[in-house]
Amino acid sequence: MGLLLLFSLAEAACVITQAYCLARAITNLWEGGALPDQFTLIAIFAACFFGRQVLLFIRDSFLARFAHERSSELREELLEGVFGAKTNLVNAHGTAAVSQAALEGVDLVETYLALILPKIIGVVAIPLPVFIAALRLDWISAVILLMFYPVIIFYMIMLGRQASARAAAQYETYNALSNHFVDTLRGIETLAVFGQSKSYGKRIFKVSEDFRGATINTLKTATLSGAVLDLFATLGVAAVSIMLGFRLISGSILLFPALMVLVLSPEFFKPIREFAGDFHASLDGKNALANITRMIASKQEEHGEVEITPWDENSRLAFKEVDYSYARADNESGELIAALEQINFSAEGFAKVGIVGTSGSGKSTLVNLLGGFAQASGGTIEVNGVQTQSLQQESWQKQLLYIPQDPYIFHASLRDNICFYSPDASEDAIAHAVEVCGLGELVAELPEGLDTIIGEGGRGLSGGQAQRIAFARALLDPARKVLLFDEPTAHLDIETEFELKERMLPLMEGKLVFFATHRLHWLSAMDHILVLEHGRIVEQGSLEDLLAAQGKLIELARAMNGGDVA
Amino acid sequence: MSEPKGSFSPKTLFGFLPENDAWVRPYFGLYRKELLQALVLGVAMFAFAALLMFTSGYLISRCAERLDGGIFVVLTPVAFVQVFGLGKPILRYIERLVSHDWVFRMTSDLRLRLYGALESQAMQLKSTHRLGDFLGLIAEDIGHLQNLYLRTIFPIVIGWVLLLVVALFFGIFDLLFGLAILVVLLIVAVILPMLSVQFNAARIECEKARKNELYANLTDNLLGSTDWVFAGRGKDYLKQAKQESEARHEQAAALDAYYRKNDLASMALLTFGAVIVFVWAGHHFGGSGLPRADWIAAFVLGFFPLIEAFMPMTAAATQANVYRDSVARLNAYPRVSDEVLDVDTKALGSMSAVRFTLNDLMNQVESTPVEEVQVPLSVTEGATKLAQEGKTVGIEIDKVSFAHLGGHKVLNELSLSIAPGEKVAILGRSGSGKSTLASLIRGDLQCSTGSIRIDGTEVEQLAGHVHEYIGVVQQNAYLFNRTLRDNLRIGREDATDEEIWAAIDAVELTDMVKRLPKGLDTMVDEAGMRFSGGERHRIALARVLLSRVGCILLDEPTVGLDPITESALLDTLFKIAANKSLVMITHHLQDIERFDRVIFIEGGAIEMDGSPTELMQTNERFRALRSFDFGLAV
Repeated sequence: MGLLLLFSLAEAACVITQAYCLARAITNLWEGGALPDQFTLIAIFAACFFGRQVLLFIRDSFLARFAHERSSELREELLEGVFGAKTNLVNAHGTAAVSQAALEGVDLVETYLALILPKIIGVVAIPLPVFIAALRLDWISAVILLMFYPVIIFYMIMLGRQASARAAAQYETYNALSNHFVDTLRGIETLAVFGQSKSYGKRIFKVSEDFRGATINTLKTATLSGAVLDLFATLGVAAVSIMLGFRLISGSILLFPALMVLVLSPEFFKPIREFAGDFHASLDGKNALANITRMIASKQEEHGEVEITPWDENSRLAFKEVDYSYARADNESGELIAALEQINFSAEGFAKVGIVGTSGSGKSTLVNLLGGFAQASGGTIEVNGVQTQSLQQESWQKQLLYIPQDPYIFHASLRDNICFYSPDASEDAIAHAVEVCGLGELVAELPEGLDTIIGEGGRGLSGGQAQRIAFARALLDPARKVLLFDEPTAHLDIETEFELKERMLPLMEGKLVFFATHRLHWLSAMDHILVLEHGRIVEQGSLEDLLAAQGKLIELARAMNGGDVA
Repeated sequence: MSEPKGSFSPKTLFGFLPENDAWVRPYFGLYRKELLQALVLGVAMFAFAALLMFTSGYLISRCAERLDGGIFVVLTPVAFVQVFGLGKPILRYIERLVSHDWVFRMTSDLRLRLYGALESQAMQLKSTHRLGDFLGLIAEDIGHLQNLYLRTIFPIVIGWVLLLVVALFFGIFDLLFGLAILVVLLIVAVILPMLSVQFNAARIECEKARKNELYANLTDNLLGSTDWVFAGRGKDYLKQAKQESEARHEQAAALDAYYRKNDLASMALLTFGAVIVFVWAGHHFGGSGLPRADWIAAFVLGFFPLIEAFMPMTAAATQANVYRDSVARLNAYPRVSDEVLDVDTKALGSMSAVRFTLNDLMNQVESTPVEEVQVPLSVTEGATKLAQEGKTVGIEIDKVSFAHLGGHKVLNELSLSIAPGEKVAILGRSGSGKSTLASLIRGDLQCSTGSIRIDGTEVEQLAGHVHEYIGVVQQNAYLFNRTLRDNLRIGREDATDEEIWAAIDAVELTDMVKRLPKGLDTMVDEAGMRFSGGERHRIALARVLLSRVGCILLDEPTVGLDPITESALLDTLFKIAANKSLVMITHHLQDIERFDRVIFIEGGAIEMDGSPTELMQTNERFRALRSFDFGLAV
């Protein structure tokens, strides 16, 4: 900051010197002096005039580096919140918002820092020396300049504030419009099957034209602030020059001071005008900075980090009266909704735990607690003797393999996708995993085999193929002793499911398995079954026990199969 | 695309645009009057700024002569000072409005045509575009094109016109001096910008490529962030992201440094220009006494405000390189004509038929919840009536084969006859060709050989009208982020609220919709996440009902639903489809007994075909699958 101030003061010195030389040389010529006698003055003027640009050059080089460093830090901090073990920004804000913030947002901040910082300082550090110089030359002009200055500041703040509110509203409208366009494009297939896609084009045009009208109306007032500012600044110069004219005629001032004041007066207003111009333009940057800072601040609060020892056949995990409730996103009252209540169960060694229930019974929430994606709001979770409220623990998650309904397939080669959890896997191990998980057919089909780029934009995969890749990931990383399945076969056709089941069962040997599903045939492979209903465990035990009990599980099976329990 | 395809001529903006550009050049012709206004205002604005200092300099010098006439001698210059002083900001204000208005007009037209171009390939869009590409297209290309005009084309054209005006003005006094100024300004306003465009093209291209890479990778990896965290490799990715971001910064920083050096060079030239003006004015007007010497101050001071116009030109011109991709990408799509779009973009009056407005868009977001959602009384009768509308049609599939461009044969001489009113379930593994069959029936794909007839007419002949016969429920039926009413009206644009409620009732959502805070006016959250899977499918069914078709085609509608929800959905489906043909592509055997007929497709041909009871008795494989699907104990 101090350095920037120095730069601005040096700039002001250049401005004053160049004005002096210019005015002096013109006056000399006007008074009939010979041109060659003025060359020294002209040379000094040129040196100052150019020197100012040199100063800017040095200052901007320095600032560019500063802005980059600061914005890089922001981006890192933000991504830390996503990819760091302790946080889950993406869950809280959504992928689109986070990537928008990390990319365009950070870029806007960088521009903001590089552009605005020197201008804010310029607003103070340049007009002041210029004003002092003018005061010494001609106090009346200096007073005129000074009189205009607060008016300009006043307008800048007044209209700037209005404009910023308007710009924010406008930004929102523009976003709504963009989203409408993107939304329409995303659903274009749906529109097409209803024969509506043509008429939606007209909508896009209509809304866009409406937006033009609205924006121009907004601009009329929003840019008015800029215009008024401009007007006052130019009127300031005009007033100075006319007042000088009158006093020159009456002989109360000489040409030299008059000219120098005239040359200085635009420089007096220049910093504030430039700042005002960028003030509007950089609102986006400011918004982005606020947005990113808010996001970073919203990183989940730290919870106690505990060390969970590696899972083995003697390990024990227990949920004791665990509750989970959340506030709905659109709920202003902050009223909490209970998703899980009084969950009690335990699992020991390499048990296989089936979790069943209807949609909305809390299966996925329970899986989220087990995976550490969510934090219990009440009760305790005990793992290997350690008590915690959250399994969002690095030492737990690194033992865990999570296989959701739609495993994410990266835009990368098939090989990199398979080796995601074990980047150092050997060729043999990969070949084995491909074989065991039934990916051989896919590898043979792909033009470049394992090195073919798959994922979004690459080669599209079917749900079954994605699941196989997820299993291959699990297979390649045998050190992970806890497997967490969230309806892994819900998307599969029955024959694929049949085949995959045969391949998956051996994978589960020697592991602690949690398997949430509504496909009841899996239950015969489970040691212990939790039946969930409305967020509570209504029945638990081995399949034999539950079948014998003729209780909730049988009830569920009847409902699912339309009364038919085979 | 490092080398522009266009020739080096003004027509292609000196090689910037492709020869057959369809997205930038046409707009120069459109709304020509407004465009011209914007440019003239821009030139006048800078001219006024220069003239203000020019007249001020003259005024002061003239006053200093202390003439006898007193104030009256300088009345004219005083008046001019006032005119230019007031005029400049006003011109600037109007110029901004006019240029923005023009650019927004252009944008509306651009959006419309871009949509039109994409719409013509709607059904292939998903498979050929990454979602990220879409966002890129929208946020970047349209925005870029706006900027191309506002930040490159306008300032440059204005700068060049101003250059000529200034050189001409000086030339009137002294030809040689005019030429000297012309040379200096030509270097600053034409040569330096052009050099920079040439020199930085590759750099900007590279920066942009790196930026896109960063963007695509980051989005991809954010979607898979859970895996990074679980793999314990989060730090690896942070490192990778940092590298990518630094690689991009390298280019950006180099570009910035170039600009700074260029500015230094421009300023050196302009300083030289100022010195020339000074020396010339001193030489030309000095030494010969008053009042000629009054002009010295005028010329010298008048020159400085012009710098503001010329300095930013290099950056403005170079910036065009950023938009090169956008222009090229847009040019990959044909420019859709007004006839195809069926609108006259020049006459806004023609849009009055479109009832949807920006206010609707914004108000819907902000509308307030209602006390109680009102449901029309006759809703049940309406629902029954709605379910009976539409002519029940049959589908004849005759020896249809289909192969992808690569030659991979998906369907092989498949024949199938679906009688009007018949309920058919089509099963098969993924890749067996069942989805392809659905696309062929809808006419989104054309059979390689064989034919498909709907109600006796070849599908090709029904082009654009298939939706009048067949209602489609897709696997992931899209819900737009609009109100529920808007989403349902996709089925039929002019559906009344009564009809919409009838459709809602038919799909048994009345209670759910009644509970929504704003009833039919409730916004569907992004990608329809407000509703559960089952509800979304019901909404999709309601759409189909509203479109009054006689055949419903469902493409794996129950994927991801739990069996209870699925069973209930099928209940509803069979209720509303009592008088319709039903073709359901499915992946398992839930409620299979409800169907008249079950067809298994394997390897592009029919492998099993029969009623469920028949298959249960005669087909071993069907029996095995059926028991696997339903089995609790094995």
